[in-house]
Amino acid sequence: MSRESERLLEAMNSLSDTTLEENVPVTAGKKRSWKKWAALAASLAVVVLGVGIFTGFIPLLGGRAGQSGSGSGGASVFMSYAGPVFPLTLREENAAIEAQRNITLDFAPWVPVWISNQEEANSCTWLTEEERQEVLELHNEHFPEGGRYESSTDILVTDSYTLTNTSAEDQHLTVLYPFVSGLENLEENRPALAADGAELETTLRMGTYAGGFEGVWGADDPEGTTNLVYPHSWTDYQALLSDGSYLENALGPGPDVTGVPVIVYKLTNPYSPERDEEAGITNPTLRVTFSLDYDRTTILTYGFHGASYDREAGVMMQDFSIPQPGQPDYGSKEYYLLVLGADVENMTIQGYANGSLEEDAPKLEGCGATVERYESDLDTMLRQLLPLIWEEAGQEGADFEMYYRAFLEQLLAYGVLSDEPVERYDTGWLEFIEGGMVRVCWLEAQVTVPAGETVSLTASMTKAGSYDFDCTGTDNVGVCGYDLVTRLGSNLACSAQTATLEDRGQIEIVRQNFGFDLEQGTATVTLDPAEEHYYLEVRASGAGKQQ
Amino acid sequence: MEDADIVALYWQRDQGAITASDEKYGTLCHSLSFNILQTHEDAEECVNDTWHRAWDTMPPQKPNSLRAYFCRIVRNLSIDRWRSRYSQKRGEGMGSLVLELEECVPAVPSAEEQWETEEISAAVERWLRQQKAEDRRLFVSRYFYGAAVRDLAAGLGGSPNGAAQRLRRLRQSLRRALEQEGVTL
Repeated sequence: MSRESERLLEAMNSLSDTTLEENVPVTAGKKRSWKKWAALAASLAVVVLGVGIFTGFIPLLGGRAGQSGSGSGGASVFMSYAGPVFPLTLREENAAIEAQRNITLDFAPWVPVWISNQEEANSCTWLTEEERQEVLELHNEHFPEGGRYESSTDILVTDSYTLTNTSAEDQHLTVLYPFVSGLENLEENRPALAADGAELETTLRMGTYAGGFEGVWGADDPEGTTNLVYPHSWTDYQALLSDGSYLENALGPGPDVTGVPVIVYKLTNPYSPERDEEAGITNPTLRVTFSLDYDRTTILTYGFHGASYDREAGVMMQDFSIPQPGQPDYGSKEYYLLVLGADVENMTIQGYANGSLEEDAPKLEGCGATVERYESDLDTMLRQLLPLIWEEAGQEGADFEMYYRAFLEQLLAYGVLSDEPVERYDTGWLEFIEGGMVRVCWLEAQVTVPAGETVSLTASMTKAGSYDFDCTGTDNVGVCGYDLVTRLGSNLACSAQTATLEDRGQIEIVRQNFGFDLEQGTATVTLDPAEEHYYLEVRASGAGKQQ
Repeated sequence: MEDADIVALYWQRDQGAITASDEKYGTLCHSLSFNILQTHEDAEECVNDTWHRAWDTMPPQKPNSLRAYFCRIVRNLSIDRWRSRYSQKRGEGMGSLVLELEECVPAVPSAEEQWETEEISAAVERWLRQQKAEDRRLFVSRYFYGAAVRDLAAGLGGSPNGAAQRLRRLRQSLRRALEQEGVTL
């Protein structure tokens, strides 16, 4: 968004009440189906008391309406689900290795830290002294007590394994440690792996998009596939990982589309008469029309942003606005039609005075573009186009191969090249394909366990909590959930598993199946390997009484 | 319930104010937010935050048009959230830098900025008044309420392409009007 359009967008907010009242859209939105607001005023009171104490409620992975204690085994189904902590696994099952696991859930990030107004102002080192003073005054106004407490609802997780080699030979292991993350926040979620205290060199292996799609109106639109829907309980991950194919795919090479031939129509230097509103040339547009057999041909595009698909007549139209002098794309932007399968026929290029795709759209003479037709392969073309898409999305600097694979997997699984393309991607416009969403990733590392000896392997990470959105009025507002799975996706034989809670005096337990007892001082418990899923749901100590 | 009664409930610190707000304007606010964010979870959260904000601001506020008041709040919250999401998507690039620096921007805009925003808004308002009622509704529905083009087209009884074309024409017309008035963005 340019600063200019942003200002215009903001200025629209200052339109008069009358204008807004008179021009409410005539489109009727569907009724929402829920609300429990009775508890809100009470929760507002808590919020007022707790201002500045808990921050950092950043929505994580989407989710469904929260349900306290109603999920699998009594765990809540949170609106924002961070995903469980998974167990370590080995690339090759190894009968000589015996493991013991202890996982520590440390609530240190919950301990409030005092941030003084002065500190806050001083940290703005790029400001002038006068501006810093203004910042200080602003903070003093908001926090008259001279500062505020801040804390996080993340926890520190240390997932430790004692790996014992019961054989008489050294065992060279390839270990895989799984974690949930989107590609954009890999660095925040990525655990650190260490063997006997020494950090391990790791290779990232990433799975495909872990979620699915749903209709715009959720349950009211069961056939729809326009919106993303993320995993919302550990059982979604169970479904994803239990047969091993998801991991197998992550460990294997990415899709190879080098052998997929494409016919490329590249349009450059589009030209038109200049925009002239009085002459009716409101949006000079170049339209490409062609015939095709929809069953034998698939079209991917870059740069086009208007389209019409007539499957019955075997005709497709794709168009774009011709950049005008002074516009960023003027004279530089390239437009691509990638034809997969049988070539298109009867291609015509025609200018129009506006972007309408109607039959009566006003034709505009004096328009055209340089059109080049050549043959290539899909890999070459996508590698050429993806950086252009990134440039427009401001995604420079990302790991190209990682994103390329994610992009390609998404395109092949859900785009127009899939047997069942989802509505979200059904235009064939490559700019619409996303690659960064939530998935299960693995860190791969090499570890040697000498004959008859043990190695201590540790995965340390910051783990976000799962939660219900603030002020939704659910019983779970203010409750944070953390969970782990004991066996899911792992071939490592763990003879014992324990869990330790470092509560730091910050929490009260709302729901759990670990067996921790803060009052009795039971902070370490033995986990039952037959229990696949453990959950701990807590709120800030004292918050329950306030509510 | 009449708007004035709802406002009175807020002033009385009666929790029924929120229930009444949600019943009367929840769908509209959700729709507006969803049009910007395209996810129901985020939209729902922005609507919730809108009631929260309304609770915090009434009193002292006593809006004349409660609908416009709520819509402005939910629109601002949704745009903020969209920006935040967009910036996260951009990783450590310019978006993040802008977002970080936004912390340094005083919460209250400078008098000059406020004046400029109002000038732009007034120019848009004047231009809107010159448009046909149907075009005015189309433009505000799209660019304030964020309604989808296909929904607007359905409301107007035309095709999405037709509505898109009209919107393009209106945008061009606004641009000319702003240029003629010497409004710089």
